[in-house]
Amino acid sequence: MMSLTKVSLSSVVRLQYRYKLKAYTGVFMGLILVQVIGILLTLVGSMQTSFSNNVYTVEVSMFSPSLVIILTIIWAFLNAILMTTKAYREDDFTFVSNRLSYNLSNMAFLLTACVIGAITALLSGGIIQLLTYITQDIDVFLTVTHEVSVGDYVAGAVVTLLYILLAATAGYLIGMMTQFNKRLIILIPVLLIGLNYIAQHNGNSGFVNILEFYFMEYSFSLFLLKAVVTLIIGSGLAILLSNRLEVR
Amino acid sequence: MKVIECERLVKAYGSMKALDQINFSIEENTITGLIGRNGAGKTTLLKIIAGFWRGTEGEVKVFNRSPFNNLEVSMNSIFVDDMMSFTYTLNLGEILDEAKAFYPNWDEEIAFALLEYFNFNPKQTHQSLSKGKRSTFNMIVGLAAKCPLTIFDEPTTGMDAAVRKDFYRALLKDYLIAPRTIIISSHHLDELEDILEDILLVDEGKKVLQLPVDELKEYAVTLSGRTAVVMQTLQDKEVIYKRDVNIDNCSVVVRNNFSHEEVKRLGIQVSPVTPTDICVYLTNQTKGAIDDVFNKS
Repeated sequence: MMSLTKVSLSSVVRLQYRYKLKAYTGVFMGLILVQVIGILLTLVGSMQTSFSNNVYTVEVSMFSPSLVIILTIIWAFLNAILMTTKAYREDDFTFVSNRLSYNLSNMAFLLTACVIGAITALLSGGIIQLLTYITQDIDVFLTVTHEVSVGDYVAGAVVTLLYILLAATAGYLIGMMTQFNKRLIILIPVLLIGLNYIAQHNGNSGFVNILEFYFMEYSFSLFLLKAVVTLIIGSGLAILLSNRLEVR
Repeated sequence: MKVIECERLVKAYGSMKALDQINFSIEENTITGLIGRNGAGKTTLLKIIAGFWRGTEGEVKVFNRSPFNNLEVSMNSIFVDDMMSFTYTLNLGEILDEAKAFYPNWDEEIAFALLEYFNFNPKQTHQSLSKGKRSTFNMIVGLAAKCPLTIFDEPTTGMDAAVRKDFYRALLKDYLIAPRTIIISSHHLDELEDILEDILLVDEGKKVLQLPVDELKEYAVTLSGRTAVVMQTLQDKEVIYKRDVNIDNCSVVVRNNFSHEEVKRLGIQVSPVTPTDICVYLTNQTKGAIDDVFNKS
């Protein structure tokens, strides 16, 4: 008789993760496209202000990778939703998988994609500077370099990554909710907008509060805590929701 | 050892029951044909066995484990149908390489030999294949995986007659080299009959019968002769199906559990019924034939 093969969860997750890196190349093509568009848009539509004392006029153009980062966040959100769809799930269950290994390998893949997205988004700052230098007629080129320590750079990078990860987790959870029950595709936005409306009616600032909770946090360590806790809760919820999902 | 055990398994969609208290078990290292009409519950049953779907009630055990969410069952079984989905970013050769990583018993030699035999270009993508070619490729994956439990759900969809014949032969050869438990659901019982050992016939979510093919061949006989005489002999017999009954002559399909000499002496002709026909008769709906739909007026 053929003997049964014993398996461990981690080995299957590793196999699935490896498979995804090869199979989901479209995710990275999308990233390149989004960031190139971000860089081009930044060059075309930079923030401009001008000062004048009637003798001299100083025009200040600001170029930063903010737009690239925002587009990367949207990219992460949409890709995470896509990964929860039936088409992607069926690819997994063609070979060896259970729902937990499917989720864990998805998350490992998304984490990898987000880290790459964050790094390239941050590096796009350099490309933007370079391209600005080449294409724009600029007299004085100022970059913020002094008084920014390495620690600040690292903190900035971590926060950027966390924003992207938060977006991906939100997308993944919303995607799983709609896989759990198709009606939620309509119900979720209706509930969100409805609740926000009621909250604002009662003199509360509604969802602005939630956005402030994450985006207006000035303490790095507090933000880190908030983000990590949110990521864990979001991922855990997605795993729970999909654990009884019927596949194929 | 039993590889699959189902006890009072129910799969309900609201009030509709795709599987209705089905009981059966499948022994290790056998080839079982799962036969039934469209909508009999074949695919539902196989998907629950593969761990893709959940049963509503009752119990299903594969390798003595509940298959839903079980990695071991997933690792030791493969489910092949025409909806198998492979990523479009890998070509056929690369897909086979990936499958090798997943399945410990993967037979690379057979996989690529079959790929060549059936004239595949390893650089093609799965999406670019025709329906029949896709089924053929899926079959190759199913065979090469050499999983202790191999499930083929309508594997021959879209295949032409020559490829179907090759497939049955490949399956049998491979089974002899590496015995394992194989379940095939199919509409082509007449073609399959020679390679099957057992038949599991289902209808309306219930098991109708489960028998070795050899016994199924002896399961029923057709009695034909003069109506008056045949009808007389039917009293102590289990009638399965009445075919062509008119005033003078008739032929009736009955359970084959009596001495043939007796009826032959009455001038009744006794002829065998093929397994395909038995399955059709046993699952015949009582609503009459398709002709009745058109003869209403």
